[in-house]
Amino acid sequence: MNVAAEARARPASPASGARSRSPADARARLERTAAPGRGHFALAAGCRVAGTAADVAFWLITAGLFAGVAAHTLTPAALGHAGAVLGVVVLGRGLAGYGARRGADAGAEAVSAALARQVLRVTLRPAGWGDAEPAALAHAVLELADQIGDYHRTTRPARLACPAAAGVLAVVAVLHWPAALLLAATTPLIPLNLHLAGHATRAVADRQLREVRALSARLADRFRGLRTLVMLGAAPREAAAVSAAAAGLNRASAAVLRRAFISSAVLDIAVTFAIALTALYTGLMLLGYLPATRLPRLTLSTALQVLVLAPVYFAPLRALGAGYHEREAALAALDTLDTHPAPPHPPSPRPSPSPSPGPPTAQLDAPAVELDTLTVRYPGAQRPVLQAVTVRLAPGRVAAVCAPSGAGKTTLLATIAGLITPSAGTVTLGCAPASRPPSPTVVSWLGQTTLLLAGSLADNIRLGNPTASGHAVHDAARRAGLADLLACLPDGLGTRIGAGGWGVSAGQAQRVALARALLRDAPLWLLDEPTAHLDAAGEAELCRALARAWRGRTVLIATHSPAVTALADEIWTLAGGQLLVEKRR
Amino acid sequence: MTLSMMTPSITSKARPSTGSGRRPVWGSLRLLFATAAPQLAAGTALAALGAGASIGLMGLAGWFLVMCAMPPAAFNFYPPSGGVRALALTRIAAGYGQRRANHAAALRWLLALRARLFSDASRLRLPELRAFAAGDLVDRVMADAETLAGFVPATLAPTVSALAAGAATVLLLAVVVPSAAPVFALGAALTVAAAALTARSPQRVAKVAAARAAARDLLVTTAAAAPELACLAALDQVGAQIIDRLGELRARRRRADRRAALAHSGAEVIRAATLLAITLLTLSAKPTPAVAALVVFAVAAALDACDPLPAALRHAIQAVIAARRLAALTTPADPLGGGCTPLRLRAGGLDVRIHHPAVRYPTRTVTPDLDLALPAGTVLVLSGPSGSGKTTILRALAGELPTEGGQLLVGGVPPAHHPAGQVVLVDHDDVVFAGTLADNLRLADPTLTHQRIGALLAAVGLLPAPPGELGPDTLIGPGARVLSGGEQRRVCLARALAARPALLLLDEPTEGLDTTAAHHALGAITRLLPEATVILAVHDRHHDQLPWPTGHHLSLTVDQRSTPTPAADHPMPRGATTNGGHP
Repeated sequence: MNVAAEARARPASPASGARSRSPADARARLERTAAPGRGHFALAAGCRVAGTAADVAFWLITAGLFAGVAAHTLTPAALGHAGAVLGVVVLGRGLAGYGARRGADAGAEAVSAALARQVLRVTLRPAGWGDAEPAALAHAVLELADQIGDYHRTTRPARLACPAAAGVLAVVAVLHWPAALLLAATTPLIPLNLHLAGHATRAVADRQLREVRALSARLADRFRGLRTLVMLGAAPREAAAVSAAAAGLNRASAAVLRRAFISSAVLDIAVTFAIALTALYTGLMLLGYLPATRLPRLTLSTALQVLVLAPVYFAPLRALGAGYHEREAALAALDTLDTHPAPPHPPSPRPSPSPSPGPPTAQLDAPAVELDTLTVRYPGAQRPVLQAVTVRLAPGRVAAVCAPSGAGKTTLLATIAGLITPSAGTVTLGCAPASRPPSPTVVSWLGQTTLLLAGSLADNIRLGNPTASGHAVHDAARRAGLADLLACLPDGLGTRIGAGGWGVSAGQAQRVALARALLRDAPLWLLDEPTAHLDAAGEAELCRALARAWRGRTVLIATHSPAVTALADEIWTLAGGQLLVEKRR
Repeated sequence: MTLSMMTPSITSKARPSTGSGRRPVWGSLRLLFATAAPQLAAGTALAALGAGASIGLMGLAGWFLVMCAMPPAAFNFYPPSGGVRALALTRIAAGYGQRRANHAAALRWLLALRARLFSDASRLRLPELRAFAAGDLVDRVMADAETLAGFVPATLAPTVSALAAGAATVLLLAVVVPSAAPVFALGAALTVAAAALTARSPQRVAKVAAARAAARDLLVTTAAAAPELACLAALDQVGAQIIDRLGELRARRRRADRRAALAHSGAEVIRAATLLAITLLTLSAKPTPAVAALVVFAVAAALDACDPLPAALRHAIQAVIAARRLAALTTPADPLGGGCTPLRLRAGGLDVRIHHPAVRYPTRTVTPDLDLALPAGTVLVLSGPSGSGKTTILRALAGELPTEGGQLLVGGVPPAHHPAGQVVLVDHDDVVFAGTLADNLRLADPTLTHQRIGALLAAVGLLPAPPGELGPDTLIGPGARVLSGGEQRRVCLARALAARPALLLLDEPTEGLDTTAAHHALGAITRLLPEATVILAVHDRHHDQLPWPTGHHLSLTVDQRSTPTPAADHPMPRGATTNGGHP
């Protein structure tokens, strides 16, 4: 919800405008997301149909009993017999209800699991993180996917089970065809009324919902910054603003709710009207006020059966309207999932073979990095991040990339790693005997943060090269400056770290990442502010280890730090998409 | 949804200490009655009326039809058919009105809850506030308030309907088929019991929450480390681990779902069996067929009214948990943390005394090894390895972390005793609020003129900006994403300057700024607050970003192991250096 509001609160960003779709389009997309749960939903729908059949049987038999009582033909034995049959029907009905619920639950799970996987597939691509905050990814995977699953849980089985209404109609037709005709004739009232009610308010609805989201984000903002407000002494003054924001939010929510109530009241009226008409008709028929010569005769038993089947007939149709609230939430969720930053150009499968776990092509000599009129533009962005950058880094040299935050350092490195396909221009890794396109397989990457997998320290280091020997792992750990940590770990390299294991500091985690890179032994090193979260001592230590590790490799390092810059042979300064090179050595 | 989002992270921290905290549900309900009594009364009455109309409609329709089939001599068709229509209209109107009234009550309640939440929370001690404002807790608080307010339409209204329907039916049965009345009562009781089975135990909720938190953690770190993992070709492996983690979460939820489905279906079977039993009993009692139809149809309608009970009960439990969490968050603490009268706001600087303070975090105590007496008006730059306690010292000086040993005095008294605006900390996670930049600055001083705001923004280097890009009237959306990180830091700095604090604390103020911008922004402090005491925590590798020449400020290295010794000279009062304070 919050993320959506944030996305919407940036009217200046052309990205949101470019991505906005027509409401009909969005709805169609929402429906398509149900595919993974299809089987479960079909099962649920089947159970619903069975439930409707049980309802029909229950009421047919019960109405028959009344007719028997009225005609004084009902014997106690027949009553007992009917009771036993009805008991079985009731149990069957319960079973069908259970099946319908389980099916719908399983379907919803399948949908949200598939959506979560899809989001992960997009965002866990090398450059998939785009400009999204990691927290937004977690929100998308954990909450938004569920909201869409919830929507399908309510609507899918209901929609699939809709034909059950036709079955009920057929039963009514067999009992007394004019009544079936009457029900059929009043049926279009439901969608017609709903359509009219919906049409009159839809235009307002989107605006109102947007307002609700924006206001609620605004309100959350005041709470989030409460500490600042208190420190500045502004909290009492802001209380009025908070109340105003909450009241505004309430007004907008009330408008949205009113719309929902009107459409459900309209549905109520249509159904009640249809049933009342049926009751009136059967009453008049029984009283003989209607021309009975033209119409088939109606007995009390049939009349009762027709009357009780009328609500059963409308029940599946009414269930269709139930997912109203969920749909709005689901559309909002899908919208947020869609605006989830797409990478500018995911690496096309053609030039870079998908990296497979294993050691990089270590035999490769340090490559030259050649950028030729390289341009990278994020979709919807006004200016390219990199504009026609042409530069060459000779093999074995170290370049420090300096730029203010957000100037495209990470984009540049990711493009050289082959994680982003440029919008124009080329990246070439010049190495003997032939040049080759960029590929993550020849790269060691060190970022600001690293992920420690739940597992032993050795497992984590071995991520750099799954086939490395224990000795090599130990050596890499030592060279990365992990000796101190190793000394205090209970099981040395075998100690479990990460979630549920030994706690490791940020600096130590960076050294684990360095150990990985050392073990990987790739010819090209790309480092994205590896010392950002380290103190001076940690930085100095990491720099020493890096300088040793770099020998004979081509290195690009994005950094703010003078200590790191001092290690570089040349300084690349990035500003406004342009690159300035200053050779030091 | 809301239930599944919560984690028990905060509830254990703030212990309820007042009456409203011990009985959070009653406290919240009192607020409901105080703010929305008329709406609530109307909603309840309409819900009962709607249930009554439903029963009457069904019963009358059944009676009417049988009467039509075997009309007595003087049967008048019109009154009952008119009655059916009247009841049908009543049912629709009452249903609509009931929803409107109950949601109106819920919204009024929500408004009051949020207002109370804000005012309670703003009375929290700063340490508790820090925990409160952290991360996505706020979003959950927002959702909690909504869940609690949802109690009215989701629990109260269906319960009232079911009760009204049940009472009416028991009366009807007691008159017509006395033997069926206890059967109905038993059926209704069993339905409620089955519904109770769907309630999830708190432990179960906590387990789901823990699984969710673990998955969230892994997701966040993975997203941050994506390029490294891509180059290691480990994304698939991590992806599989995430899917595993999500699978665990789903398995836990599936168990809860299965239980709910079983209970719901069980309730359905119980209701149908009740109807069946009452039908058989009624028919065996041999009333007239029309009366039998009236009874059976009315009972069917009454049992239908019990259908939403399991969901209502489930929501009630969620609402109770939400109420407890809200109460735990906002239990008003003693506002001054010790019952002292607040000090008067005073101009100029404050002297600071720090002597090996033991600063308490929720889980541990940090003792930065620091011993100094800082005269008023000094600029002190703290540096030292990360983890040495720079941020700890700043937060303790701001009164955001309690101390339990050593000495930490600002102007001769503990930090918490200072009135708002006297000691101001600009922290990493400071929020730029939605609204204009001017609005943000006026939070610190509502009397600021437009011109003065422009001057403050210029002082920190945000102005002059290219026309149309940034200005006092620039609108900032929630999350302030139109501003870069460096711009946000400078807005927060300008806001702090506008408050004219006597002690200004800055944690890594130059992060995200280049050297020129940092010089400019920090220089503004000495120009605008020449008499204030200023303490900055700055990474030692950022020391070139300080505008003050050596000797014009005091530098200290914080180290938890060894006692730092201040530079040989005494802390230098800054009066003389303010003009040449920045190059």
